[in-house]
Amino acid sequence: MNDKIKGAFDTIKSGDELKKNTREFLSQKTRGYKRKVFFPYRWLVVAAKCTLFAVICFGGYSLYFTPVSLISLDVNPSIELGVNRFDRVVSVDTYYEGFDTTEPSVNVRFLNYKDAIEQILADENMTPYVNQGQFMAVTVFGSSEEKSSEMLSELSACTASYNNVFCFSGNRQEVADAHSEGMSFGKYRAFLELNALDPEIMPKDVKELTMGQIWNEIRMLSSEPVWDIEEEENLVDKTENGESPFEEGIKNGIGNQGSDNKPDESETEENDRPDESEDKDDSKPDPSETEENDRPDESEDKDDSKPDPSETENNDKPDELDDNNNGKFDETEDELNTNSDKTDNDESNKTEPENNVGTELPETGDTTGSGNAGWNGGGHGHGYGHHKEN
Amino acid sequence: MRSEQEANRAVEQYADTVHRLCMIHLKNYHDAEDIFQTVFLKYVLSSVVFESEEHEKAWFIRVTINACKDLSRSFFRNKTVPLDELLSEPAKLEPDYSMVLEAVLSLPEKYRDVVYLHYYEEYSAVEISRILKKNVNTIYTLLNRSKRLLKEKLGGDWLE
Repeated sequence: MNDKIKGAFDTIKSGDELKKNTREFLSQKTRGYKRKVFFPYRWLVVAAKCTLFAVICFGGYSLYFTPVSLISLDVNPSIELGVNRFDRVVSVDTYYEGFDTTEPSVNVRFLNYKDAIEQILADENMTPYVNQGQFMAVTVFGSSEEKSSEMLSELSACTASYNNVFCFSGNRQEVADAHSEGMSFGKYRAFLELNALDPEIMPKDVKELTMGQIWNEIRMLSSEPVWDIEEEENLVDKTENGESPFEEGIKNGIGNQGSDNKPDESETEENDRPDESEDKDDSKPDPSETEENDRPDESEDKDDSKPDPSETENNDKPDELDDNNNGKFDETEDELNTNSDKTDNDESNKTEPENNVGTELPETGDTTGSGNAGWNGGGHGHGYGHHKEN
Repeated sequence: MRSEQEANRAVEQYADTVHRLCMIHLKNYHDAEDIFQTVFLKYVLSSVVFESEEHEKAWFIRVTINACKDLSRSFFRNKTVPLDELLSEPAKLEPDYSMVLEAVLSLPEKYRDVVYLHYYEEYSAVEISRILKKNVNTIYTLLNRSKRLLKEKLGGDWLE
């Protein structure tokens, strides 16, 4: 059997031609037996693919997880949300110095920043702060000016239903300074305000204060009226030049309120629901609102001869100022001049106490100091403007 | 990389073995030629140091069988040429050898290697198990079954 199988396989032989072709093939593939051809090339391709994959992975990771914008939510304590270029929250930092740690129970990472803010404000751990009317500042720093204003607009809309939440925007330098001082962005902004009034106050002095306490200090220190005639004239001049006081405020880094984006809402709210506004005066003492509700008719606003407490109107309706520019603001100036008389003569006695109550800052004891408009109208007033006081 | 002299020596020494294994598996002259050349190219590019000629021969057998199996599994592999084409390649086959070869090639693939290695290359079951990396008992089983199948195909007298 072995012989037969062996004989059968013996008949299969490789011919000379096959051997010759193989020798030529080997010589050709090895380029005269000098260098390898296949394997280096193959490994090169594999290495290139691996490198490309690594670059894509690293690039994608960096692109997604690098925050380009910052949202600082300051109450007690402070929370900073890092937002990536896709408007997703990628980092959540908290600043707890000197406070009982109160942290939102929700995980807002990878949520859209609007949803994140909404969820934080609606969170049960944050509800006491929101409901107790403590001052809450939402400060925005975007990757560009355009992005900042867009985010500010979105966040103003998100927080419109909260009376004590105020939106501001800031710049890169302030963010860097705030972090170097170990403070959140929003609190640092408040510190700058306070420091402008009292240069002796240092960051360490405000680290352990709540935002409400800081703003109480600001109110106490800023006792002299800001909206004097000269400033009004300056504002009018700037307005005539096409620059609203709000724009000026933003450029100075004073503050940027969400009211820029929703002037009509505040106006409608105040005009259409005077009773409700009056009711709110108890909890939100806003002399401007009170005064505005007292306006008999909108048509009267345009009447130069009739005094109107339009100072607050300036604060609450920036777009109106912007849009109507010269004429409207001139009227406002007149109204401002006459407003004080009216307030003094007619309602000042009533408005003042309400204002004090409405600020909900009893510990300050400051009832005569110029109120910061940040407390007005649930974030719909001029960020850092002051009421005119006589 | 090996030298041209080493390549030529290997071609002369192992060409028939490699070619037979290719034909057993592929039954197609053109595929067999491709695999034949690929095996010797791998040899030239390989840096394996062989301890002996037996080691070298076993390496060729192992590499050839693997290359044939790879091609068989290839999706783009051409359809197998009928057995008749292979049998017509070695044109002057004696009738007995032709019948035996046809019977061996008609066995399932797993039996063909064993039959070739055992009856032609005269490897023992243990050596075949090392080359094919299979259990020795598996080789015994394959040999017995292949013997029974050949007996059925060629008749009982053929085994004598």
